[in-house]
Amino acid sequence: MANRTVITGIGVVSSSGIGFDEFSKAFLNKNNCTIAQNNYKLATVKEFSIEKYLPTPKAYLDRSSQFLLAATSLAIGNAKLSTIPPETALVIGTQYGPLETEEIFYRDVIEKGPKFAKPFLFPHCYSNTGISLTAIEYNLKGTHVNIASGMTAGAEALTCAFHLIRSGRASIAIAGGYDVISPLLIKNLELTGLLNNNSFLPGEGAGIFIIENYDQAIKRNAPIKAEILDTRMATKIESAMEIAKDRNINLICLSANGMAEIDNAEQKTISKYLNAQTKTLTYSPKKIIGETFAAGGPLNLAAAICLLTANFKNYPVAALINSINETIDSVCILISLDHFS
Amino acid sequence: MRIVITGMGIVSPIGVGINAFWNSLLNGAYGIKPLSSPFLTNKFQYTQGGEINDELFMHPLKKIDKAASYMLAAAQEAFLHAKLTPSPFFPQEDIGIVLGTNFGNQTALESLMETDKGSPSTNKAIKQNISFEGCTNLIAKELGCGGPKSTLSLSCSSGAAVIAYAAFLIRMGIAPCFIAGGYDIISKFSWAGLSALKTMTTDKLRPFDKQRNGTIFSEGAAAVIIEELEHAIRRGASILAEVLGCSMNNNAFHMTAPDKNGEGMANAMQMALNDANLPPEKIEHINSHGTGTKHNDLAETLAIKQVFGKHAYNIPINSIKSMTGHMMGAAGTVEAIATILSIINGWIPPTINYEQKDPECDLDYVPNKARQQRIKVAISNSAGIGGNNSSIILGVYE
Repeated sequence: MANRTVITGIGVVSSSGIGFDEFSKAFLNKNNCTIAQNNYKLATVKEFSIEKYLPTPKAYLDRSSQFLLAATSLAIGNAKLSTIPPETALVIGTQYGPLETEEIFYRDVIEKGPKFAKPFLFPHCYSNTGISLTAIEYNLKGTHVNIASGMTAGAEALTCAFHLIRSGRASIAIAGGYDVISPLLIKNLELTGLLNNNSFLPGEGAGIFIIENYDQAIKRNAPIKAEILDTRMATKIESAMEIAKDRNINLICLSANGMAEIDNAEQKTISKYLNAQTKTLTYSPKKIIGETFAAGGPLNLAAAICLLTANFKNYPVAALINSINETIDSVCILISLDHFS
Repeated sequence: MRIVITGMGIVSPIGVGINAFWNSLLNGAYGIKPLSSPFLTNKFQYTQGGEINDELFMHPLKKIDKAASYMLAAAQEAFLHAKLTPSPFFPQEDIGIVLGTNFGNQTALESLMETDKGSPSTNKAIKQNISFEGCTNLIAKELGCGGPKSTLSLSCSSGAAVIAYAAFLIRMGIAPCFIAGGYDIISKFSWAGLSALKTMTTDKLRPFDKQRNGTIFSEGAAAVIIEELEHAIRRGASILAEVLGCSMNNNAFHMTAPDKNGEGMANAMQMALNDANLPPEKIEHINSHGTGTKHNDLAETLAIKQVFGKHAYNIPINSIKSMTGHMMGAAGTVEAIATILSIINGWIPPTINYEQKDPECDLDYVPNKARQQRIKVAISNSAGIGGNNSSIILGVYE
């Protein structure tokens, strides 16, 4: 029999605030930290200091690893987890990983020569650097997966964690996604023309969740935020959205990010869906927090929990969270809020 | 749910294609040679590696990134080997793909870092390839895989992790069939970093030997077709081996320093045994991670002893990295393929360059000559920087 799977902790680092409470407040007021750079806008995280979130100082951390570690620390605190079992699963998604450190490392090699390559920097150049540092920081020896499936990587990580808990392969998981804006990413977005798209707001952040077996969460009196009812990954948005079929959905958090291919595919499918369920609200969190790449799906999930909590009083309520990438590979997550306590 | 392997493909420094690869393994071929790139040989201390012989490897899609071209060739071979042709009874949506890599399409990343303003064609290539899922999308498109796509990056355990992850996705009902593979290339970026870590040797690559003093990195790609047993039977596939159990974990110890007592690798093997619901005594062969570094080989030996106890001394353990070199993100898939071939053919490829017994590494490492031995169940181990581990238990299909 499938185990019920619940979210008990949320850790957010975003342009709309750090920590779920601050994020919720700013997000509901549609506040973010958008900076202008050259002729375009970026939704960036300001006033972030990793020292607040780690018990011991670190010699070097890429900004992306800092975001992941901070969001994990916030999620653990939010879940009121006093001890973290070593068998806890860790499933994290990132599209670009530590691009900034990769560039710093490689520039030395090209401009100064190989003997100037900094050995301490290279271990910080791997896509799995962030997740490995997180495992080390919290002594996490359980199932360990680093997903690099582009913009849907964070949502896929949540899907993987959901299945690990539901199938009984793990009873608790830390899951989500992160990505940061770096000079190399801006260069890539410039070269590929995305920065000329006024509808596309590049952003950065991390969204990390503590996901637990419902019975275990109840047993430890955990603060249950939401239940994950189902998830689906598919190469077509309509296939992924089938998990919402025949269900009463109060809210859909869209993946819409200003990229025509994504927005058109999603809008087409949503339109069909809304004809059947006219009372469903739709919301585009990325208009506020920007396209945060692998953090996009998890931050949409955080936004959905925030919006459901703020806007609905008659529980249960349900939300569908979409995450779609450029090739329309899609991940949908279905959650419900109820009077869990 | 039973899960099986029905196809395999490989591009390696000791052979392109499964038959060439297997013949080289049995004959103890050494794939390490002086590197062909003047940039690498002129500027770096470590000048030997396992490169793909481009005279043997000519992919028709020459315009794609080198890493993607290796991965595509391996995936195509596996696809053909498994006779994986979509039909009305076997829709494209049933075939998913999971690829793993350390460094992705390095040519695109290096271009982006080196170029101030790219040409339109460079820009297109960069757009497609700068993030790791670019290669996965390309292979899926070329082979007509319409099922879920996923990309993992778990350093040098990536090639094994893709098999574990694909098996997990099949068990969760995400899709019944996946192409799972790993790839990486030798590039300026990767070579600079791997050289800086000083884990390589200028000597021969000699895993488990007392004189061992480092690994040697190489490049290539490998893929397997992994599917639910009933699905394979329904479409009339030839079944090569069964995936009995898998694991992916982390040492949670240090980014680069070894977990000297091998606890993380031992946990990975035990997790895979638990997944397979098998006692340690059932394991008849170990295809080791065996990198040739002082610490890894000792830690792995200790891990094997922790898990298997006295039985560890009865298990033939090989390191095919002694022949292929360390194929980074491809290594785990390559070694799973070698394990499957050992099960099918009843031969265990050797650990070559083995000259002096190390009193601390005192198990049976199948030194220098292939050994004929029937195997029913074997385990393949992989590990990587950051403390990632993955173990795959493979068995004869009965």
